[in-house]
Amino acid sequence: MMSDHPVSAACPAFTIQDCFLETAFEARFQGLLRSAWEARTWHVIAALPGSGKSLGIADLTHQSNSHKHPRRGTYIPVLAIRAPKNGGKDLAMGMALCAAFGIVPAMPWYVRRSWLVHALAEAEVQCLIIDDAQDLNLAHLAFLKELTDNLAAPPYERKVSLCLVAAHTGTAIPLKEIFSRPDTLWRQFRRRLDTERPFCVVVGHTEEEVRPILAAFEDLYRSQLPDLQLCRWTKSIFTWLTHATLDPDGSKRVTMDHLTRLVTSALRRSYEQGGRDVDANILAATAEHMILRRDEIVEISGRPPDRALLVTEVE
Amino acid sequence: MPHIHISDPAWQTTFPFLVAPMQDEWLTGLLLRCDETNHWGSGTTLTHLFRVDEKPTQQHLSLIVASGVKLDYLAAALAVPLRSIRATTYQAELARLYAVADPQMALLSPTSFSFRLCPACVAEERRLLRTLVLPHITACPYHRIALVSTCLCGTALRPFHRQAAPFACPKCRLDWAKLPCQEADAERIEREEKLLSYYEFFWTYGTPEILASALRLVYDSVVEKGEIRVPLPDENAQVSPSNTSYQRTSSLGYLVHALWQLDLSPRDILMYTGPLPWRSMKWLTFQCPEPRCPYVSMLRDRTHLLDEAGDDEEGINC
Repeated sequence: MMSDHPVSAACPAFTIQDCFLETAFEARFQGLLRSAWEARTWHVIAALPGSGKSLGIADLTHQSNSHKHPRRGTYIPVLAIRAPKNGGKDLAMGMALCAAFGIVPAMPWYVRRSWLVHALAEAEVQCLIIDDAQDLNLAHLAFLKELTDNLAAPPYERKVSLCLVAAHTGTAIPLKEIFSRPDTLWRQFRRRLDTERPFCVVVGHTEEEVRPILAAFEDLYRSQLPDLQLCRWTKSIFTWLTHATLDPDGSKRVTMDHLTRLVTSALRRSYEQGGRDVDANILAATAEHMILRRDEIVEISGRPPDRALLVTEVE
Repeated sequence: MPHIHISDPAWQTTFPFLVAPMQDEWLTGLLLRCDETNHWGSGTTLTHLFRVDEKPTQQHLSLIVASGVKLDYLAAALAVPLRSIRATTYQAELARLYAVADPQMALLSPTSFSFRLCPACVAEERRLLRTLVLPHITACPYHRIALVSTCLCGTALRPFHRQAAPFACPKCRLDWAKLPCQEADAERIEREEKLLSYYEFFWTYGTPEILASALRLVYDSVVEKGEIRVPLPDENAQVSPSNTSYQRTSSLGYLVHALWQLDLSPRDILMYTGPLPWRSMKWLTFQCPEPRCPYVSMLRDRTHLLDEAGDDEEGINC
């Protein structure tokens, strides 16, 4: 939960409920990840930015029963990392994988390289997920192949699933072009990808799928807005959020980021106005802000409003 | 036992694979087990502890008192309480006994430390016992075998070596568990059990007053026997030039050996108040016709401590 607005003496601050919702997108996305984990298959999985990929990965990781124990050892069936930023070579990818284990002392790269194979095998890693895979470069991908090949070879003989989760826009799927190259490395990489679903695009929410999410928001914010009824605005909300500004590819699908922004922003405004529900005007104004005025430059001037401080009597 | 879930913030501040200190384990053994469990080379954990702050000195590397070693950092990295890490050293015991905040190795032994181990302990549980690093202890009290300080290839054993695997000889790579076990003679075992009981007495009941009383008792006994000083079996060992003769004769290793040689018991230490009218309880039972004799009351109070320990701690009271 997060509170991010001025505290008023009259009513407590509006609290954003930021718990994970198992939406239709997440069901599709996590279903694919789980299937890859179970079958140890390799996929490139793409979805629009703001769909909830990172949250879905984090939730899956939390549910994977990864633990460290002095007697039972360390168990990490699903190891998820974010692709190294700003390029870098295989070392950057190695460091990102090491960091997922906790504290790893400084050691030469050639030692760390072989340590990683030991550690992944010892921790029984079954599924590797690389988030923001659109940032991977050739050196990173080559290292991932080397790592998984070493795990598959004796003495470990462990087949590991690999999910490269990327943000995409338009019809282009990240990494597809690289894996189509004729070089031996990429042909080998391509061969390891799943036969039936090598490249997947997980789409956002339809109007029907938006409705249960709004119902979930109603439950989450009932304590702050007792008469909240969001479901009745499903059609309007879907129409606003599939406007060409927010859905430039014309997918006619709603991302969770847009939906959450619209709802929480409107609910906050209603709450601060002392409302018990959200009305059409506030929702429309918020949607208009997101669609028509999202690039508007706001001038910040004058003095910020005084923040009321809680006074506690100390004996 | 700590169980760290991946959603716990401690996940990021702990080593990839955890180990927990065992009963009576020495810090060196714990660090080597941490290296081994994490598939690191020998000494990686130790080097990491010092990378955090400063470079280790020879004093640090004995790891018996672990002065200057970031034990709190190690406790956090292994997700165990700091007290269980401290228990792998003699830091707390020496600090209490000598009433110093940062005890130094010289308080235990003024001579240079030589690394030795029990191959059977290593074979069973990868355990390096804390008690085996005490001065004058040369045999494992559990397996009754002589401690080993040299590999079969002739290389002197060293706890940490950059290019070696943990618990292995850096030269021939022989695992320490495979070093030969030689049975220690019964006389040596008996003597060292007695020495260990003295150490246990000081670890359990030791205070600066008890220490002073023991030193005074040793001194007066030597004077009474007409000896100039109590000879130590390792008196040819190298003494650090920085150590004064006071440090040498007040170190616990020296004191324990002297007590054993003079056949003085922990009870004698507790009862001792001066050359007269004190006599060891082995030689004399002090009796006074006065029903409220303050001297008898004092003796009763002092020995009460040991009487309370009960039959299960007979080793201490011998």
